[in-house]
Parts: sequence; C-alpha cells; structure tokens
Amino acid sequence: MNSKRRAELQRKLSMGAVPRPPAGLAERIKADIPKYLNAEPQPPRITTSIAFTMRIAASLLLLITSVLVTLHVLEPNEAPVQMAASRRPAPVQLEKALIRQSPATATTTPAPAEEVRVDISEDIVPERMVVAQSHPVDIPAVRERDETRADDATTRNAQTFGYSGYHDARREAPTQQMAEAAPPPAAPVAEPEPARATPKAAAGEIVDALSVTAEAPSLIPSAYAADLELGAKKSMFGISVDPENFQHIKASLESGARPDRRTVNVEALVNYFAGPPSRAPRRAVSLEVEASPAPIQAEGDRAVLRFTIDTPAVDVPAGGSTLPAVKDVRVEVDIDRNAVATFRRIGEGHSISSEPVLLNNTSVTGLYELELRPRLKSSQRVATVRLRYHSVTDGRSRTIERVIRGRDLAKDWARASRRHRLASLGAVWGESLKNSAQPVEVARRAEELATQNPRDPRARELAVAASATGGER
Amino acid sequence: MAEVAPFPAREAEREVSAAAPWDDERTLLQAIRAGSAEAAEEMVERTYSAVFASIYRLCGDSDLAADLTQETYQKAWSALSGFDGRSQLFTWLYRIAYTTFLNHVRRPRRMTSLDEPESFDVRDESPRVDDLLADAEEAERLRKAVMHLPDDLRFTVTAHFWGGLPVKEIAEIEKITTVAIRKRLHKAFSILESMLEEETQ
Repeated sequence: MNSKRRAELQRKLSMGAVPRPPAGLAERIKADIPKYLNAEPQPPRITTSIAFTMRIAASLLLLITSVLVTLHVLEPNEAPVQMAASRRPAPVQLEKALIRQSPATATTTPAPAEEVRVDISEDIVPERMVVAQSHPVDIPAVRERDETRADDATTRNAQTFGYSGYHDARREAPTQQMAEAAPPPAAPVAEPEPARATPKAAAGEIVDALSVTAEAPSLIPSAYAADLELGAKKSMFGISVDPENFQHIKASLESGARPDRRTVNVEALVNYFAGPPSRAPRRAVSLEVEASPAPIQAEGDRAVLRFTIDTPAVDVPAGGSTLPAVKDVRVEVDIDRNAVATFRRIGEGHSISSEPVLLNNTSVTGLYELELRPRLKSSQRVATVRLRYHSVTDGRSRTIERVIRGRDLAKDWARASRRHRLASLGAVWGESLKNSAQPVEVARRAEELATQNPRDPRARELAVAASATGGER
Repeated sequence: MAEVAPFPAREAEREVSAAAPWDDERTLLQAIRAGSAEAAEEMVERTYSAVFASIYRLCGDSDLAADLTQETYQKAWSALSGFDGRSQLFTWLYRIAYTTFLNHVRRPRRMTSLDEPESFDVRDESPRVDDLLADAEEAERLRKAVMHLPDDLRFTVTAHFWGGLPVKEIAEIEKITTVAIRKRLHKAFSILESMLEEETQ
C-alpha cells in the first residue's frame, strides 16, 4: 500500500459526520447516577478479598489448634520426636509434588504458570487438548508420540498445528503428558474423534463487560496466533472452531453440574458436531451448502441454512507445517428478501467475510436461521452462498457458488445429510444451554442418529449430553 | 447599545467551578467515589458526547448509539471501583463502550428483518456493490469493512480513529508495544484496502 492511498484511507476513517447526541440523552444518563452510585458504595472486590482472607485465617487457626491438641494428647517426653517425625514428610511431599509437575526440568523451582496449566489439563481436558492449546505446542513431544503411534489421528492433528509454536524445553514434559494421558475414565459421554479444525476462539465468546472493566484484562484476545501468517487460527471467518468448548461442557456435565451459560460457545458446538467431511475433498477447497426445515419448529416457518468449507486432508511429516490450501478466501451469503422475512446467524461471534489463507485439514461451518415467507415457490431463490478464493497452485481466482431454492427446503429435516442434522441439533442444544432452557427433542433425535450409525461418536455424545442437560431421550 | 446578558453556558460553568473545582480527572473521580452525584453529572457532561460519537461510528445508528451510551454509563457506575485511574477516564469509558457494543451485536436470538426500510441491503455481512456511492454510503461501506476486520485489528482501528485514543494508550490497554499497535494499523489498512477494492470491482 503506498503512502498516498494509506493517507486517503486514514482521511476517510477520520472523517465522517457524527450527529449530535439526541436531546435528553445526558439527562437519561444522569438519571441512572444515584441508583448506581448508591448501589455499591464499597468496592465488591475488597469485600470479597476480606471474606477470603478471613476464611484463610480461620482455616489456619483451625489447623494450628488441631496440631496443638494432637501434640498435647501425645506423651510429653516423646513429643519432640513425634513433632520431628510429623514435620519431616511435609517438605518431601511438597518436593515430590513439584517434581511430578515439572519432571523435564528436574528442579524444585518450577514455573507456577506451567504447573497450573498441566494440572488443569490433566483434570478436565482429554488428550485432544494437545491440539487445542492456544499457546505454542511443543514439537518434539508431539513427534515422539507420532513415532510410537503413527496411526493416531490426534497426533496427526497435533503435528498440523505444531509449526505455530516455538520450542520451549520447559513445556516438553507437560505437553507429552497431555498427549499420552489416557482419556478420563468412566465417562458417560463417549470420547470424541480428533478435531480437524484449529484451536479455540476466545474472540467468539461473549465477554461480560463488568468483569472486563473491573479486572482490567484486555478486551480483545491476544493477536498472538492471528499475527502469524501460517499460525493456528483461533477462528475462521470469525466463526469459532474451538473443539475445546465441548470438552469443557462435557467435563462440567461429568462433574454433575450444568455448564455455566456464559462459557457455552454455540458456534464452537456447531463446528464440533459438524465435524470433518465424510469424504475429504480432492480439490483445494470445497463448499457444502444445505438448507432444511429447522430441527425443532417453533413459531413461524423456520429453516436452517448451513455452509461448510472443507480443505483436503493431508498427512504432515513430523515437525512439518501444514501448507495453505487456498488463499484470499471470501464467503458471501446473499439472502433473498422475497423468500425470507427475517434471518440471523447462529452463534455469538461477528462474522468476517474474508480469510487471508485456509490451511489443509480445515473445516468450518456457519449456520443461519431463516424465517421463510409463506407460499414459497419451489423454484424461488432463497439464498446464494459464494466462496471466492485464489488458488495457491496457479494463482488464479475462482468462485464456487451454491444456490438454495424453495424446493431444497421442502424436504423433511430427517432427510437432510447427517452432517447437517448434527450441526443443527448441536446449535439447538447449545442455544438451550445458553438460554438456560430445556433442549427439547434434541436428545431423542441425536439418539436416532447414533442408532443409525453407531460408529459415529458425535451423535452419541450429543444424545448423552443433551439428556444430561434435561432433554428426554 | 442594549446590554447583553452573560452567555448562559458560561454562567453555568462558573457556578459549577465555584461549587465543585474538579480541575483534573483525579479529583473528579475522588469526588464521584465519595458519592458526589454532582461530580458524576460533571463526568457525564464532559464525556457523553464523545462516547456517543464513538459508539455511533461503530454502529451507524443514532438511536442505538444513544441506548448503548446510556448502557455504557450504567456499567461504568457499577465498575467504577475497578477503575484504578492509571488510564485516562475517556479511555476507560471507551473500553466499556466498545464492549457494550460488541455484546450488543453478539446477542443471540436477534433476527434481522428484511422488511424494515433500512434493511435495503439484503446481503448479510457483505456490503452491496454500488458504483455510485454517495459520501454517506461510502462511509457506511467503510464502517462495515472495519467491522469485518479481525477482533484485534478492529479494536485498534476503532479505538484510534473513532475513539480518538492515542497509540500509546491503546498499547497500554492491549498490553503490547506501540510498535505492535502501529503494525496492527498497517495490517488493518492493507485488509481494508483490499476489501474496499474488491467491493468496487
């Protein structure tokens, strides 16, 4: 971009008439002042902090009292020996714990952040967490796993994203532990297939404004991965493809708790249940567009429009990088107002129409809910989805276009593709969690899908999870 | 020659400054924290137009911008205890306003009507190509293009150009260097230019 054009763009950004605030706005704002100022005269964090400190103090007092009582009960002339004996194991235990958490460094001064990360991963995240790390993935550890179990799809995925990281010896052992950790035992929900898509998308999650301002973290997640040309994406087209989100929900359900609605990312669930294609595309990129009646009909004539973009599945050599499949990719969704009265994109994020590059082994799904106008004709256009891209092989621009017409919506939801049904059911379930509602019929329909194809674990997972959150199977 | 009455605004200004000399933000904030509604009103007067303007440039709708401005201040009163005063008051307010706007556009279950007069553009998220764009339409096109930027770039561009925040303050918010912020701006310009070029082709 030359300086003249840049200056022109800056000028355009800086200019632009802004109307005066509407009359009475200042008064409206001021009217809120007494109510809110008086509502919280004390900073809540201080209150919380004091309460927390008091609880710790009480615990310490109780502990000291218990020790003193124990010592008092014991024989007086043996007390020093007993004390010595009872005190010695404590540092040993602590040391063992520290070594266990950081075996690679074999030091008693591990980095706290690393320990916390390992603990969390072991507690709630199964082995697929290796792929889902938003921070750099350790390449040597992943490679070692690949050599021992070359057919492990999880490891292949880990390689796919391994290039984005840098090598940090301190992360080696913890990463390996995660990669080789057995799935949580006795899980009521079946272990999922490895995900094709890339790591989590915090950007897609709704952020509570109050907590953000009170705790003062960044409003926008780190641009860490996004700044890397071929880095692991947190999202594609602004759509979360975070496989971790379902794992968190699953972990919550396994612990007997309904997941916090704020942590539910509907887009991520849609992408999780849409999964990889049944047959990977042979061309550089493929576009699937499908529409059906909504899985659960509420008021009005509702339909679900889905587009899914897939790139070829390629095996990546250990330590290698996944190459771009296509570049300068742009998605356009045209919805015809003559056929559709209202629409919405399903999910929390703000979609982005373009991506500079799509790597191989990628799948991304977006869903729209449409409220159809009555008396839709079979030949009437409902929506057009276009995928424009530049080929990385010959550099030419290409466009794939799919048109959805009225007749495409006439079929029953049950006759839609398996991928479409799972994605749309996942959306209904996710939104029921988000809205603290009952996932009506989701479990039953997912159960039907699971019965039809017992080898597909996702339908079973959805059936079990929806049942656990209040749906009837 | 007839006597001219003092300009009312100036008169009011004098009264306020005599009663409540909050020359700088720090003393103003102290007064608000002490429960002074007068000081809070003063803060509103000083900042609400700029907050409204920054939200308007994000959403392009005056009524919505007014609602979100009001919501911004509601959140600000509640979050006041968490404001450490290290950044400028407006910077802090802008962050709340920006989050309020994002939360608004991300609210689920909001159907976009295609019957409303303002919903002339039926293409979702993608501005309609028009060779004869008027200035207002061009600004709207640019606004939509900015909204399509990745999150980090979008925040940087809007905070700098529409919120008027200096690069240094954005860097402090984002906890990165000013060089990184400038790189973001450069990257954002490149993306915006290609988006706009593509639209006009």
